[in-house]
Amino acid sequence: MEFKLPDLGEGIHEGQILAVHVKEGQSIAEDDLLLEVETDKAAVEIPSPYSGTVTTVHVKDKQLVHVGDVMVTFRIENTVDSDTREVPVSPSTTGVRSSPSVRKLARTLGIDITTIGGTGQGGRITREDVEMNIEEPVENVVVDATPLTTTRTPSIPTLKIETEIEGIQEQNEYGIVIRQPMSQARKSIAKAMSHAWETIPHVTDCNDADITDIDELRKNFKDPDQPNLKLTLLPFVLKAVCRSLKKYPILNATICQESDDILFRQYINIAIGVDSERGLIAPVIRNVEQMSIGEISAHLDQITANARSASFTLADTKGATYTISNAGAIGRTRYSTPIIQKDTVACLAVGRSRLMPWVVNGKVVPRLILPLSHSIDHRLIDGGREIPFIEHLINDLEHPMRFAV
Amino acid sequence: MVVGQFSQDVDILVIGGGPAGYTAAFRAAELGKTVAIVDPNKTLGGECLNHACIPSKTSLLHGNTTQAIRALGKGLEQRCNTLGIERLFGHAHFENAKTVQVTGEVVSVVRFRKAIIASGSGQRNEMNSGGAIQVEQVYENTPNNKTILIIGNTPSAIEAATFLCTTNTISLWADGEILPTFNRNLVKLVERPLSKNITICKEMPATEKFNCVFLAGHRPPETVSLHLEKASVNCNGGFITTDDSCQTSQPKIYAVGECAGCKNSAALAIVQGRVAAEAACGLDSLVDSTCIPQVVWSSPELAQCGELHDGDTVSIQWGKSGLAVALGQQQGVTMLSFDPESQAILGVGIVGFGATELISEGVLALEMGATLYDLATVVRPHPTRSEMLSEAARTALSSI
Repeated sequence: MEFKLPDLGEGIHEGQILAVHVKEGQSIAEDDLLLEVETDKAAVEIPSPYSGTVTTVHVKDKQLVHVGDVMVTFRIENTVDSDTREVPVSPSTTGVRSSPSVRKLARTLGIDITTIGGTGQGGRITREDVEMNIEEPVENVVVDATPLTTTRTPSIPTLKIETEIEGIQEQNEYGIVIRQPMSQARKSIAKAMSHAWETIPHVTDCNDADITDIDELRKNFKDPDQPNLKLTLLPFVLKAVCRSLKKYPILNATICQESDDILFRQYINIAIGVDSERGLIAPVIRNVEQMSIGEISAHLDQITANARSASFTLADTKGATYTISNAGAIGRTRYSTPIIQKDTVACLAVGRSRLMPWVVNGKVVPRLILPLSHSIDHRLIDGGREIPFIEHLINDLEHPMRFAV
Repeated sequence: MVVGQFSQDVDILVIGGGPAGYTAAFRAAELGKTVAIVDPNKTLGGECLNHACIPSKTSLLHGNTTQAIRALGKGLEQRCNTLGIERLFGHAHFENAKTVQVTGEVVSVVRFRKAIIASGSGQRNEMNSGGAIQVEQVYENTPNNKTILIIGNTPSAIEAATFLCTTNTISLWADGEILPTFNRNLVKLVERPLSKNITICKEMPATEKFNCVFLAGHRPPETVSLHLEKASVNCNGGFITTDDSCQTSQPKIYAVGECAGCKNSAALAIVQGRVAAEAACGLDSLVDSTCIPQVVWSSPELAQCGELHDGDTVSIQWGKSGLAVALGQQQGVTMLSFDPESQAILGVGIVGFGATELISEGVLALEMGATLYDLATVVRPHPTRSEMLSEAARTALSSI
């Protein structure tokens, strides 16, 4: 029985084999993971359609494959025990002094709690101790949805030198070079970025929002009806963006490529730029204009988790009308020049907030300041539209009562 | 497949209707899966509800055993109905890692996506001589005016002896120390009053001298009849080997409770049941408890958690407790062991009235990584026996 690469949808005809999870001679049960194929944007897991023994594997890692190519040949059996495993012995956390919730946090973050020194009374490991151990190498950053806070002691980002780079070693006149083929996902990002840069005349406007009040409100927020709801700043930014987009709908529009008409979208779908293992992806939250801040928060948690586990589909990245890049989640960046995605006309990069000396009522006081960088497509939007838009956005963020009323 | 057999598909098949099994089934059903429980008995609850934990406590504390079993069993049935969990009556045997044959009044085949084994334990068989009875029987047909030998060193043995000694002549043969997993100083406080009412034998007595012989050792795991080898589920010494998520060597199959080596702790078995169900439903779940309390409903009660033989130890006699003295319950002690350097709590032991409830505070302290200062600072209601834990912590602090 031959298994051919099925139609992956969305008009995708080819992909790159990311991993083959079976070996020749191995028995496999229906629905067990067979292959992972990387397409333009997402990695697709392909489960085994049969139970049986794999007689031939026709593909190998990194190979470019097309829909209809034969992937694997099976010999079908009636009953098969799927492969068993050694029962792993987990490292014992007995003797580690911390609360169960802190142990779970460490586990979720992939941190071995037995290696952490505790700063609590008598060496007890606290939540902060675990958070301090989150590795933040410049490469391969896990996006944290809750970075916009000043209470967390900033950890010093260490530049992690990748010691093991896969590829073919070559020698040129200056030294050793490792040649590595570009992944399908990176190729796709590269293509999209150069296209956007070459066709869209970008203008970037840099601003600051004083978020001291909103941060206070956010941190003190407690709702007995939703005891697990913890708010980060980002849902408020999304809400404020929605309100500004409704007021200035041209920023939610796009240029029709065929006719040069302007298409005003009567829905707001916001793409959130998230760093993942495979590079930048931008999953979309749909109809944000209909959501409460709590609902936006839940959707953000969901897409961040999906991006981490790479369990998003191509459809999740389509249909955006506006883009927000939460760059501040990665590190202490302030201003940047975000690149505008296809079919949108603006992109907002949110930097990391910090306490700054600020003049309020003639006095210099410490205020929590959020840097905002807003790129617009100058073909469609002029400063006359963009500046009132960003003004409206900042005013919202500085006067959070507007959200509630 | 034999003609006449009927077959069905479920997401999660739970084998065994005891505390670990029904907890797993309820959790999996709550998470939206189709669930079936296989158990040969008409009522859920397993040994815990029908023979061991509940009947022994209702008997010892003079409750109405029959009424309790009926009420609790009915509650479990109702929960099953509400959650749409199917009951299959019979014994389960694996055919492979995807199907189980259930043999009862009818023979059926169940195909499952994931299975959770909670088959519990079987009958003790350390005595080959006929006539020896499982200790749980004493709560069903309570003997009167008999000479009785109880064999075993477990909490079940001590509880049965405590229950029977008022109306029978009891001898206990523990083949070594009684309650070997408990702190010796605490055990002495239980053994001393017990030995006034029963004979604790130094040597194995001749069983013919007794009217009845009860077996009260550890129970062996019930795994042989499951045909685990057909599903590639590995065992060690009869117990199914599992990881922290209760997953066995066969990734589709989980095992919880006594069949997976959980000895004498229905509390841990219940935790495992919940974890296995969540893990089988694809959630990130594992047994994250580091401290499992051990209790004996002896007279006085005995309870301990953590390590009581490491580090420094303080003991507070309940003569210091206003309430205990007022009620004539001063035969008690609260013991605390700690690390003098970090002042971390390492273990808590309690003997006395209500020890089995009081120990939970110690479990919480250990699980949260509390220090002596933490325990000393917590204000407890006055007058209660719980105050003795603060007292112990303060005494420990002043000893450093």
